[in-house]
Amino acid sequence: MTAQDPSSQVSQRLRTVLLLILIFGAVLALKLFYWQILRGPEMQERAADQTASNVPVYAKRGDIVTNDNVLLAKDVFRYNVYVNVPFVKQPEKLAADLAEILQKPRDGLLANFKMNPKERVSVAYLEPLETAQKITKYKAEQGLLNVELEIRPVRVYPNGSFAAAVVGYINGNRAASGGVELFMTSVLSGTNGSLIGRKNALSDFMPHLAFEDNPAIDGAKVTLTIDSGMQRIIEQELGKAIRESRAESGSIIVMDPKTGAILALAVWPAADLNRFFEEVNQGKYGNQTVNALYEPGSVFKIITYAAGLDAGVITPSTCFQDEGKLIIPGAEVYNANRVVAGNVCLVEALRQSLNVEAAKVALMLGTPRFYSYAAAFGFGSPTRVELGGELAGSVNRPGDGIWRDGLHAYNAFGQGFDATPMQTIAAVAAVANGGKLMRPYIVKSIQRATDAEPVEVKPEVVRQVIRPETAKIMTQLLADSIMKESSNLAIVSGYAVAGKTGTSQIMVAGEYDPKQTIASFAGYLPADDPKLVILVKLDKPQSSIWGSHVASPVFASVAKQLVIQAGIVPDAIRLANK
Amino acid sequence: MTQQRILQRQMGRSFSFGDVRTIALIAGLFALLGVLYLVQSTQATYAGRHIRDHKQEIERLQRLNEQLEIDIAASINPDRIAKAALSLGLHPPKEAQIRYKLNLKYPLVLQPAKKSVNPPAPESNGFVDWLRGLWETGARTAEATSR
Repeated sequence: MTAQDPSSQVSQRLRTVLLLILIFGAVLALKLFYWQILRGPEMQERAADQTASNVPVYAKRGDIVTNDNVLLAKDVFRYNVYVNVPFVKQPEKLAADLAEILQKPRDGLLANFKMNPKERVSVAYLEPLETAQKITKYKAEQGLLNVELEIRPVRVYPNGSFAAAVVGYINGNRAASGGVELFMTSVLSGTNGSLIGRKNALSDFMPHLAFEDNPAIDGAKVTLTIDSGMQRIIEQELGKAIRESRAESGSIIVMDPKTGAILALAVWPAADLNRFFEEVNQGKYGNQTVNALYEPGSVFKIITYAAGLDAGVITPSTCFQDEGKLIIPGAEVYNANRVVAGNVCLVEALRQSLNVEAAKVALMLGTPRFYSYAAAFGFGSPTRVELGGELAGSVNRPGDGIWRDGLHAYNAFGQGFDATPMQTIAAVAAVANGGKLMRPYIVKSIQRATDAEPVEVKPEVVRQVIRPETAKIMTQLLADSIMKESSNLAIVSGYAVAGKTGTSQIMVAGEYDPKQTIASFAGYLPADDPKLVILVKLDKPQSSIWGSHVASPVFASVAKQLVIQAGIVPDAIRLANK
Repeated sequence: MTQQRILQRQMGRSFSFGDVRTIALIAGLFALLGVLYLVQSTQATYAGRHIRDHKQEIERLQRLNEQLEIDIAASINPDRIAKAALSLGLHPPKEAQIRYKLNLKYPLVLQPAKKSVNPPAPESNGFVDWLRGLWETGARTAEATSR
């Protein structure tokens, strides 16, 4: 046997090693080709899915504040806590730790984990920042991946039921309901943003990798025309009036007649907006000044007489022979309590609130002209005040299928048609404002996050309804009808008041129920230069059915406090300076 | 040249010092690049964490600020203030407690009137006269009644 050449042996081994390396390399290359080329896109997608993070950045809904900067509504962030139960290795320990942080019973949490072994379960809802920070610290310490925090904006109403009807409400699904919240929802909402990037195993962002930051744009801050001092006064007075008259519900509106600005608006009952979701019967908390209709009753006589004077069918010295009833085709009109007043002029007709005389004026005007004035005063169309869900009301006219002969005789004293209290006060304010109908407005300014200066809402003249001279005469008649009756409960010491009571019967099962009424008073002061128009409305009062008994004193009580609040100087002092 | 010498030459070339140096240099370069990358990414991560911490602090302060705004709003609730004032013995003024003082020289410097959207109609003497008359007749009795 000849000895093998050593160089041949080395070469053989080298070739073998080389072959093995080549085979290994080829396998590696094939594998690489398989994973990187053939399944490359799929793998890239899976990797991206595992690390990609698209975190929504919630925009804050804008604040709502009063004219004097009292905060009524604000968004804050709260945290929901979730646990991915399938990834929990020690459920007992996690339940015990979370129970301590969240101040919840450990057994409840544990039971939740055991009942949902394959779910991501919610363990806490709307927790404050302090709790979220404790959770974050705990996660970092324990290196936990199965506990997650989710940030959520929540609406908070720091003043509870204060101005609740004006503000409206945001429910758990962030949907607006009523008030400014609903009307201004597009302005208040803002635009959500997002943070798109990559996260590590602890779900933390990896900022050194490419990411896209789309910041949220917060909603605009809305400043109302509401004065918190006036609002408090009318809320207190309304609550007191409801208790004393044992009325079912009620409302008070205060308006600046020259601009149409709503200075205060109260509705009873009023819910604590922070607990509104707990209410079973949420419907009873609507804003009845715009969301509910009523028959304005004798307050509407202001409109009827103003129209009669403006059209020239009556003059301030017109007198009537009142026989207590008026029978025309389709209508039988009687005065309240079947009073027969005899020879009465306008002031007395207003003072006694005679239905027959109002009906006569409507008949003298004629149907088209009467309804034309009613429409011009804004009845039958929304006032466009910035409160959600405003109703238009319905004034039936000849030819609309519902109207019948004689209806306008009833309409003349505010029965047989529907209106909102907001329409009524706007119409009365038009008389106070020299015949100019102003759009009622409750939003004073809007401050967008992107703008340097707030956008101011300007007063808006809707139309000149009656001539200024007619408005003045009407004011004199109304003031005379109140001020010359010393026992009138609407009198405000030191100030001339112009106004009118209303007692409208409520229709029950197609018939007017004489025992169920809506008692109201609409008036303004000082009569010669009105600064405040006030409408008081009490639904189904029990102590008395009459507006003059239950609504007039509320008007006087409210007005006495508001003139001090608004700094309105008594007439005698003011006139002494003229 | 014998086969033995050829093999020796080949082996000598495979493990020459120059080749090793080149390989080591390349490996060193790769290692350096790796270290640089690691340093960079570590620094970026630290910076990222730093930014995140600051962002969290900003967020915490913002939330705290929001909560304070709400607390302030709740504490200056007009009803609460009124109750607190009443408990301190403060009451709204009664009519008799208010003294109106007219400054006939006011305003000292007349400013041009701002253009009003809806200027009130000019006062006629007739209306003021009517109001004066009203006070002479009705309001006196009203005052008496209200007392």
